[in-house]
Amino acid sequence: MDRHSLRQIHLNPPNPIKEDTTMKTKIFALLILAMIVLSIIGYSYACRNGGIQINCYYNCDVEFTEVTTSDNEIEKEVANVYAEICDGDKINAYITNAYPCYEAYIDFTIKNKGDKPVHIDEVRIEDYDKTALEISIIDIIACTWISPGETINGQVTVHILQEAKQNWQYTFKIKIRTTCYPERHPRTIGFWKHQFQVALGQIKGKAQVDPDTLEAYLNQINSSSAVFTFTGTRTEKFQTALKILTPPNRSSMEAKLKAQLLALWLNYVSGWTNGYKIDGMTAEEIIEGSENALTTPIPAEYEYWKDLCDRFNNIS
Amino acid sequence: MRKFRRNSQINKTIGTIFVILTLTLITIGFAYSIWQETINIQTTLNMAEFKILIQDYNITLTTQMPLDNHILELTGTITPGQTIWTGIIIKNNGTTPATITYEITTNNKAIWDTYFTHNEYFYGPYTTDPPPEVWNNSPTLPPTEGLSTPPELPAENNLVTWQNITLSDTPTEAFTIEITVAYTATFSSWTDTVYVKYTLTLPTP
Repeated sequence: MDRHSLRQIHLNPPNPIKEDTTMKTKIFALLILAMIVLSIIGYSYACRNGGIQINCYYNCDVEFTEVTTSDNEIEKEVANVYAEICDGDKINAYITNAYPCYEAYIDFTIKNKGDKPVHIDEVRIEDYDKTALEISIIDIIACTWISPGETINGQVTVHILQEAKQNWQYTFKIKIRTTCYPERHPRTIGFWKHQFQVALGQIKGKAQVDPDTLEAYLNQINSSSAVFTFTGTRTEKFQTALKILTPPNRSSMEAKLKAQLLALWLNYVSGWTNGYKIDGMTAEEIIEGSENALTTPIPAEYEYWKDLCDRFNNIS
Repeated sequence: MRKFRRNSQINKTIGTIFVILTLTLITIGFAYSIWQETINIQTTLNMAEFKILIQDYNITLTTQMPLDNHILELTGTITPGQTIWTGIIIKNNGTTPATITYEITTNNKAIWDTYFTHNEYFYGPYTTDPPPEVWNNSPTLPPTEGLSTPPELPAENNLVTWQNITLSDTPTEAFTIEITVAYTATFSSWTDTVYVKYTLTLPTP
């Protein structure tokens, strides 16, 4: 190798520092990209609507708007109860000079100030001395909905038991956990089949309605419907429901009507039919008409009612 | 020099990753918080106190045991025809009103029923110390305008009670008798009691 060729070779020598920096930049860019993707996934998940739609323009706001107090004292004013709202999301209540048999009532109003329905997921009284106090909450129960702008009232009753200690302080906290949801709307027959299939372990997947709630719905239908009966174990009830919701391909119009009617019943008891109408009829009216046709029976009307139920269930 | 630059770059990278990670967590936290909210009712409950005590006493019997706020023990001799006057101030030292009742018990009912008479007079309630005319400067015993049954005693108020025990002229043999007067305060299911305990001896006539 002559001197000339040696110079040519060394004209563009590899630069290890530059390569190292380039590699780091790439890794760094990938890391940023991964972070951004994760952020978007997390954000989208939080804002998801039935798993298919992203709607992040939520205005979710649940607040206490009013609180009043009273007690069971008639002749003598010995104990006192007082409450105030702090920042909308907290009520501070104070009961002073309490004694056995004293009862304090805290009445409060919750308002959905957002523009989406709010579901009360859980109403929980945190650990308290059950030997000294008896606490109950009425009207505010889990699994209920508050529509936008709607207010609901609740009452906390604090009853002092005989075992309560003199000159002692007790504290307790009631937590009302709420979740903002997309607009409620009736779900299709397929949606309900999916819930039961998951609950029965026939398919893998995520159910939107938990088995306890499903069973509660069926129990409610069982006691209100003139057509459907759900008895036995939970599994038996679910199997019965799934069988009704899945009529064979060439089944009768009666079976098809029953399938759509059960789906409508489920939508109705879950509160997802509120505010909706088809041909000027509410879900309740359609259920009544369908059940009347089935129990009378009026086979000529089966198809008419089946179509109404079907349309209502597909209203979204 | 090169080593210093390399360290600086690593530090910068770590710093950037940290910032991004923080922003990611904030975003996820924000996304979560916009659709879930917990509202609370925090309650603080303070219980009342229920307590009565003997705040002061005023007696005509010469010997007595020290006062311990709840029991006044009196020991002495009594002679036929003698009347013993005992006054006490019962204080409601709690935070609730109290309904007062009283009851007399003895270890020798036969002698009590045969030879003794007893009267009780109540004065008050008073928010401050009782007026002198019903307590330590009474011209006569009992003071005037006494009540035969105890009135309700509000929190932090005082009640004066004067009681007399009279031995008749007729006992023929010596005895010793224990007499307990219990004043019980009641509110709801709470009770508290103060006692005046006499141990009286009649020497051989």
